[in-house]
Order: sequence, then structure tokens, then C-alpha cells
Amino acid sequence: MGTLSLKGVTKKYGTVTAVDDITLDVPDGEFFVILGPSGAGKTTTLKSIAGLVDIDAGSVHINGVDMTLVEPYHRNVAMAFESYALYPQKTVRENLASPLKSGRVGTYDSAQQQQRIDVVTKTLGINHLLDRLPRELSNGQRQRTALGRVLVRPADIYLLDEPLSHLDAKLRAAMRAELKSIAQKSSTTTVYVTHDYQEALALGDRIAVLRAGRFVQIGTPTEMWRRPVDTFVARAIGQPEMNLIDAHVEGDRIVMTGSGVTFPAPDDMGLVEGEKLRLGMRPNELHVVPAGTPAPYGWVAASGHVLLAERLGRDVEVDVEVGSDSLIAVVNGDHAPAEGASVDVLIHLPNLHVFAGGEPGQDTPRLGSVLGRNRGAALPEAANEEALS
Amino acid sequence: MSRHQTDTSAAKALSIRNVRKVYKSRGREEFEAVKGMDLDIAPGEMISLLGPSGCGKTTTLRMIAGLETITGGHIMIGDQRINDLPPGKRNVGVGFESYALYPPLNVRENLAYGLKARKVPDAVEQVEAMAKRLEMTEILDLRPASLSSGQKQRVALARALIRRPPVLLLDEPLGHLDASARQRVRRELKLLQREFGYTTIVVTHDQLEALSLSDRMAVMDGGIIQQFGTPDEVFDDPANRFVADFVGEPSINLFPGVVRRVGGQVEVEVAGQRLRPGATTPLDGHKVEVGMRPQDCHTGMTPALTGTVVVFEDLLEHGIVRVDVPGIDKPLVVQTPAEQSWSTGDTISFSAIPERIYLFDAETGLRIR
Repeated sequence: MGTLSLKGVTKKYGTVTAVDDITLDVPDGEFFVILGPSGAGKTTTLKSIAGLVDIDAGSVHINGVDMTLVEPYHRNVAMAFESYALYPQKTVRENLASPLKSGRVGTYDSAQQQQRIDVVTKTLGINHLLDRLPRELSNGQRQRTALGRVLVRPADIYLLDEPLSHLDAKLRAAMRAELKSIAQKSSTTTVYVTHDYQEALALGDRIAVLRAGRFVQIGTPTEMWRRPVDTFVARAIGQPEMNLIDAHVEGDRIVMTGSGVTFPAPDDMGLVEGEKLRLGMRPNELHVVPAGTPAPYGWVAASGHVLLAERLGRDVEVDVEVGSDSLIAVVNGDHAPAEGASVDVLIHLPNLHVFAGGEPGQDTPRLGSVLGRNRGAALPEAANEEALS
Repeated sequence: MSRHQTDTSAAKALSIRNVRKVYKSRGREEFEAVKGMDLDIAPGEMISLLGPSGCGKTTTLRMIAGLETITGGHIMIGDQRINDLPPGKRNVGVGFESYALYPPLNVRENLAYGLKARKVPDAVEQVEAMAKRLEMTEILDLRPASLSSGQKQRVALARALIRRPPVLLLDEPLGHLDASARQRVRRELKLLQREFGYTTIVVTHDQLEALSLSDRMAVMDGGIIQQFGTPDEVFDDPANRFVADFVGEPSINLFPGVVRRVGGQVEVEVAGQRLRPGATTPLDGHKVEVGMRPQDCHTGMTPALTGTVVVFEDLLEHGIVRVDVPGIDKPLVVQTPAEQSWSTGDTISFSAIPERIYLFDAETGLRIR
């Protein structure tokens, strides 16, 4: 049980501001994910909550109590670090019991210890390994044991720092699903840090995207996916990344600058003649069809030829040259065009994101989305959502 | 099509004939890292050696580069046997991360060094152009000591590429890059390879890298090539259980079954339920392992496996459902289309089309067709 509030938390290392005026409310039982590239301040944010760094400004509240000046052990949070440590000479059982024996998180007689260890090891699926030493475990079992050492402690808030980052891709996906199961069952308040957007989408009730010490956007996975506030968030979620294509306003139309493909400009976005834009299209929302296939209502076609077709597994990543632009689409391998083929890329206008124009590498805000060819107007976001569902 | 044209005139074919590598050290048992390998690579072709650590892929690359002696067999570049040539005479370009850079020179000077030595007139322009394509312009003035591992990797790649060698060897060329840079650099590497026509061998443990980069890929395990084919062949038509399991993410579902001949039809019995595989040859009662990729599993098919949803992950591009099927000891994974939602405890029935239900011999792991 625990709620967490951060108010204007700031942490500087010398002249570098690692965490910059962060404000956040996490309700009881929420699984909250902080997503960001390395160096964004993710770990510092967690350490600020845990009390492992002294913050320079702001306050940390747990269950409504100001904990800013409280020692880490008295905050009643449990934190797992990226590199887990297990005692090599102790069995799984002893490793799990040690946090309960330290006396720092309350006293437990051996029956109580055993009961907590039973619950946690069953949830993690390691209850048959209690008498093994760490060296007798697989990587995944070791990871689970390390996680168990954190979860066995009763805490108001669990802080997990990239707990899956050391696992290979396959094990990571399996452990991610297990964490999701555990989170569903236990409904503990958790703040989880990762650079992996799939972990964020799969696990997070809400996600915060962190850049240079600041939250760029906080929202549910669907909100982050459908309505990213800027190109940074748009690119942070999804792989291959969202296509960003330069465009401009010409009369009452938006024109893709590199190819001349046009569609009606929405009139509620306050666009002005000649205004530079960027259009965002998710690769898995584009369709690639033989050249000349008529575009259905609500879709616009961009003609080009296939420069590369790369297998990703069942899917194929198709790189289509459209004028001087390159559009990446992800299509099913059974229907993938050959390299060199002439194709049309079909863009579903309701899925198209309009961002402000900018230099390459510069992130710009999202202006809105477009709905429906020939309608010439964007509906308000709410109506847009309805039309999509 | 002009952009696709490849200048393969300089590229050379590479062939590997019954190549072996045995490590002997006093007091230890001999270890055969590469066990009689055959591989033919066409001029201008890009192939990858894919496998887990210890499979022999890096040893093979090092033998081609001349960094490792060859215990047996021949390696030919064009019509020249290179077994006994020193590394510098083999005319191969090596993009190994560990390959030393000159510490007092900055990245630009390091890249230009070989070109200038060969009196290439536009060395500086070539370096600039390559740096731009590999997204490393901003590090050109840095010294090697101040580079991150991802940056060093790009420098090693650029240095190998810029020499335009007839045969190019790359060891885990993208491993240290973050996901987004990896995708872009991978694309540039592939385009550069097409343009300049290098015969290229990439060593990787990353199945996605092998699938996306290669014209053909060799999947290795235990010093042996398990399958050599196009990415399509390897993914859609795996030769054995190892290849099916190693290639593909999320991993293929593998679970035990027994073949049942029903009339002329081959069925496979799985924990009391039935599936219809594409195989035509197995005999009644044959013990097999059944393989079905999560991406190939669909609902609304008969016959199908029925189970209970353990957990559903909505990844928005698609969903991942883990299903507990009674009698199968681990959950099976089903990839579901975007905008579909499942809850823990739901009943789900799923199967794949017959050609995408693979059977492997329970003992040998070999594919049964």
C-alpha cells in the first residue's frame, strides 16, 4: 500500500541538472514506468525517491508524509538496482531471508520469514530452487531470485531500475510477461525504469517519457501511442521508429515536400500558407500495395519503388523511396513486395500525425491529426478517437 | 533501377572447403571449434554467420582474416588459396571492434590514413561522405580514447568500408548501438554493401540482424552449419529444431506430440488435442516436437489448441498472449492483432496453417516433412 508524490524534485551534479523540476503523483497500486534513453535521469529519479541522493530542491511524499529529509531505511521503499547482487555462498532461501533478518525493515520470526519467502518464490516460480546456490541457477532463475530479494521485503513502494536489461531478448520477453502477472496479482505500487518501450507498453498503467531530466509526457500506453506530444515521444515508442516526413502548407492542402503527395489540410490547426510541417506515420500502419491500386476512402497513396526489403521475422521492413523521401513500412512477409518493385504506400489519414516543422534532429510539438480525405477538416481529438474505434 | 546496380567487378567469391579448427593445449582435451565447414559465397553477396557464443562463428571469421591458423581444409578467395598468406596479403577488410585505432590521430585522420597511404586523391571527401552515412560526423575530430563503445564500433565499420576491400569481414558490427541507431546504421550498411559490391561476411549472435542484413545466412551450432539459406528459407522452412528455436522473436512454441495417421491425413496429438501439420511423411506413433511460431498462430481455426490466457501484453503494434494449455508444461505464446484485448482466465483456441506447423523428430531434432 502506498502513494507517491514528487513535487518539483531537482537534482544537480555539479553544473549538470540530472533531474529538473519533476512533479508526479502515483496512486496506490499503480505500475508507473519511466521510459527514457541513457543519461535522461531515470536512475537519479529513482534514487531521489529512495533517498539515496540528496535532492537540491522539491519534496518527496510517501502516503502523504513528507519523506524528503527521512533516511532511506525509514522511507519504507524497496529498490532493485540494474546489477543485482546475490550472496554466492548462500542458498536461494538464505538470500531471500537476509533482507528480513537485517532488522531494518521490522523483525520477523522464522515462521513469518518462511511465509513471506513462500509467497514470493511461488509468485516468481522459484519455490523448487530454495536450496540451490546462485551458481546452480540459470540466468533467468538468478534474476528472479534477485527480484525476490526485493519483493520479499514489505514496502509501500517498489522501485525497479532496468531489472531485465541484462537478459537476452528471449528471456527478457518471458520475464516481462512474468512481471506483468506478478503486478496483476499483487497490485503493489511500483515505479519501474527502462529504456525499452515494449517493457513500458506491456507493464505500465501509465508511462512517463523522460528527456534531459524532464518529463516530456505522462499518459497511458494508448495515449502515448496515439497522441504523442512531440516527435521525441513519437520516436521513443515503436520500432522501427515513426516515419517523419517534411511537408508544407500550400493553399488548403498539405504537401509532402519530397514527393508532392498532397491531401486536404485540416482547418482547425491554424496552419498558414507556406508553413513547414512534419508528418508522422507509424511503419506498421502503412500499407504497401502494387502501383496503381486505388486508395480507399480516407487513405492517400504515395507512389515509389522499393529500395530495401529486410526480414524482421514474420514481418518484412520495406523501405520505399517516394520522391526524395524514404518511407519505412512493416508488412507481413507473405505479402511483401520485392526490392525494386514499383509500389504505392497507402497512408491512412486518421493515423497521420502532424508535427511542427524543424531541423533534422530537432524535436517539435504535435499539432494534431487529420481525419478523412475530402472532408478538409480535422475533427476534435475526441471525435477522432471515436471514429477510430 | 540504376541505384540498385552493383559494381561487383572488384568483389571476389569466397569458398570454404572442409575447414576445421582444433584447439590443442597441453594437459587439456582437444577442442574442435569448427568441424569441417563448407560454404560458397558469390561475389558481392552478403552472408551472415549466426549462432550462440561458442558455435564457431568468430573462429571461422578469424581464420578467413588470418588471425587464426587453419587446422584443415582450404579457404579460397577468387581462385587463390589463402590458408598460408599473412593477414595483410589476403586483401580482406576487417571491421573488428578490437582492431586498434591510432591513438594520437583523431577519427578523421584514422579513417583517411589508409586512403592517403594509397594516394587516393579525394580521401578527405570520402571520409566526410562515409561519416555522414554512418551518422558519425560529430565525432570526426575526437581521439579514439574519448569514444564510447558504440562510436568505436562505427569507426571500425567506417574504416573497413572505406577501403572498399574485395572481401569484407564484420564481427558484430552493430552490437553496441542503441535500437534506433542500429536500425539506421543497418540500413546504411546494406545500401553501402549493395553500392560498392563488397563480398561480405557478418558474424552476429542477433537473429534479427542476420535476417535483416543477409542475402543468405548460415545458422551455426557446435562448430557445424545447421542451415544455410536465404532469410526466407531459414525462417519459413527451418531444417531442425535448433534453427527454428534460435531464429524468430518471440521464440517459436515447441511442445511434444505424437503423430496420428487418420485415413490419409497426418494429424498430431498434443496433450489430448489435435493439430493438422503440413508434413506428409511421418508414420503413425512417431514421437515429435511440434513447432508453431507465435506470429503464425491465429484464432478461429480448426482443429486448434484450446487453453486459458495466463497474461496478455498489449504492445499496441500487436498483442502477446501467454496461454496455459493443459498437459503442456510451459505457456504457449500467441501474437494477436492490434486492438484485440484479452484478459487473464479467458479461453482461447488457436492454430496455424498446416505449412506453418512444423514437426521435428523428438530424438534427433531433425525436421520431418
